[in-house]
Amino acid sequence: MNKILAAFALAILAPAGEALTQDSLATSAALDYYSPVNVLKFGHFLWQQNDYQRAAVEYQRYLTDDFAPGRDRVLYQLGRCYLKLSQTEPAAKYFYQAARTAPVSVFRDSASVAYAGALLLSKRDAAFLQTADSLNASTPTLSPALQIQLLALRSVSHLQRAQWDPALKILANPLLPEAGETPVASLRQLAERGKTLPQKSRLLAGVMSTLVPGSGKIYARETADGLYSFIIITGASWLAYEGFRDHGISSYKGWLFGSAAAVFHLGNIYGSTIAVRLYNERQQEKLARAVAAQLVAWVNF
Amino acid sequence: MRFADRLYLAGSYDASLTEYWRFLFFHPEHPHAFYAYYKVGLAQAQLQEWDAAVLSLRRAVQQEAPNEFRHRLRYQLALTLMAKNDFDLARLELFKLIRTDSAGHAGEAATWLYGLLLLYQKNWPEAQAVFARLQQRAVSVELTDDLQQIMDLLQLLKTQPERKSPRLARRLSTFIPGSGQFYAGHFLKGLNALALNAGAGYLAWRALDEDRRRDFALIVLLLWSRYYQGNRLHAAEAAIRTNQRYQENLLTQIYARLQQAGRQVSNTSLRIEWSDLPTP
Amino acid sequence: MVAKRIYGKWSILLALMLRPPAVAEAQTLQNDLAFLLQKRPTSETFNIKNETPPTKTGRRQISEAKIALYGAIFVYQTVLSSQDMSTCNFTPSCSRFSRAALEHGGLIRGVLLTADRLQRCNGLPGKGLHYRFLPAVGKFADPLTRYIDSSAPVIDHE
Repeated sequence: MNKILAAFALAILAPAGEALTQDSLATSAALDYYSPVNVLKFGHFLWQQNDYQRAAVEYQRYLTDDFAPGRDRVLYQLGRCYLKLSQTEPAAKYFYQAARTAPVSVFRDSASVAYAGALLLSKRDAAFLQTADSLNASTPTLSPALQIQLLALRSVSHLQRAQWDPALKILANPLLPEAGETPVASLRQLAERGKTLPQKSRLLAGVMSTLVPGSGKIYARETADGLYSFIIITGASWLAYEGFRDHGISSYKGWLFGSAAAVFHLGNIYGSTIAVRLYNERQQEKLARAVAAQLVAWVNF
Repeated sequence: MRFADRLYLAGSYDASLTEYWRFLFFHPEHPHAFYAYYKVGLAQAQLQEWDAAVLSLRRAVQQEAPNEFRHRLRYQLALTLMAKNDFDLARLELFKLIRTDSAGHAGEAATWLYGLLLLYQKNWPEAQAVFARLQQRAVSVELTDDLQQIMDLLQLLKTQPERKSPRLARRLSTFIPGSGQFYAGHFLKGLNALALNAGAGYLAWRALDEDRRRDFALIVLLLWSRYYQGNRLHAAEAAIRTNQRYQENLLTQIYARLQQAGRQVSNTSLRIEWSDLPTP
Repeated sequence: MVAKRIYGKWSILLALMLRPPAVAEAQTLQNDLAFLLQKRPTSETFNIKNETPPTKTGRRQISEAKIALYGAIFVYQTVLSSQDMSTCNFTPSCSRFSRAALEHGGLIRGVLLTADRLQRCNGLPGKGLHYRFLPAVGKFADPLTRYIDSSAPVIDHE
């Protein structure tokens, strides 16, 4: 009796219990929404609609059944969902599980390379290198496309750490296409650009501005600001000179414009060094963003 | 779908969305599909996803649905468009609803919303006309009084939209710096403008008097002209601010009356519930 | 004892089963009007200079020189700048930048940064190469963080 009552209560309280209500009897009799097949179908539909968060939930629901077929593919798909959501740590976890679960096949190799890519996106360089090395060692028969991808990821790893020569060495591998407008060529260009990145000297900018007001700014490629500073400082200095010349040391005009000229001059020297710092940082950041964009392109599974 | 409804009622809007989408994926041609899209729209509105909510409610309106629900669907769409501050599209939907359901509850509610929308768009004459129509249909004395007060306030806004003219303020400040600000009621700013312009003018006059022509030119060009032009601009701004405060004050009174009037209108629910739906 | 335990368990179960279902609040015109009035658009406050007010920072020990400079900035903002036209090319404005520079960078650095900012605040072309333009306010963004926090990103317009 207790068991019957317990079953009845569970039927009312659980979501499946909703199916017992009269209104939805017709639909539930025809279709089980939560069967593994239908959950997977719905998950794929959500993926196609770019609703990655919901798709991930459905894939995880599918995986709650330990005996559901094709677990490796669903784990891989789950990794892709998290990659699209820019959550690289869970993506790496699921790619790893997909690689572990899959039998020896091209698909398993793909999942392993995807795992390596996700590690790189998570900025886990050491783990990425370890994985890439073990992939090369354990699967010497990686397909050419995957080998190229792995080499490209290795080179990006070096580029991210501003190691231009090691990156160029990897990009010189005979497996990689040599000429033409290829994604690999973009990586080579980035490495070359990194080697010859223009960097200016802050000390030189400061000295230039001390000698000629505004010249430090022109050196930092802020020409208009440099010229303007030159005019302001020399103008104020001239007015100060006029004041002292006409009224002597007690001239208020001399002291006013003289102080202004001095403060502006010191400000210009300081500003020139900052302008050079900003210029250098701008160059580095542009390159870093280009490298990051390459990484995303190469990890686009 | 009942499960989805329970999730919605429990406040789990995101979870309810998943279940409504699941229903729609497996039954895209179901006779209750309009209800699913409608609830999707409501859930998305709860999550402040206004663009998505509008899209879903449009799809609900486009589905096959009994007439009695079509008006309520359109009403919800109009309400969501207003919440999104998309007044032009909301106006279109309300207009359609008022025309097609002039005697029904949804049509009446739409007329009220239309009046509110016209207030938001500062279209006083049309808003007055709408509230006059509502007053003709009013059944209680209190409601008639509230609507009359709203119309009186709108009349005030219509005939006297501005207390202070920005153009006049600017002109006054052209002749006497600071006088425009005084006219607009900003006395300290007016005094400030007067003092600054007087000071710059005095310095310029002294330079000219001492035959320092270069200094005179610099003072006029770099100092006096900036403050003089600034004084004219700020005078107009002061008048605009005064007018804005005046309008806001009147509008606050109108909104309070409107809310009071709304309490006296019929309490019929405009929501579509699962229990309202016919068996497919 | 056993009977009492069973009775207690089933009474909880019964309470759960017979709990009233959640009911949505009725959607009446009154509720809809209240909802819309809550969300009503606020009128734009007219502001020639398109400035947002600065956030207040906590009190700290400050030197007399800094107090004097803060005072000068305050007088400038209240008396002079309030009457001036909107000529500053940057946001935050030069006076706000100066105040922040003095507060976060110290006296000397603050004065130098102010002097540099006043020289950069000119209407000459070429600003688009180095600063991000904000169409909403019609000015170039030049926050203090670029100058005193070297970890802040330099490029904010790509």
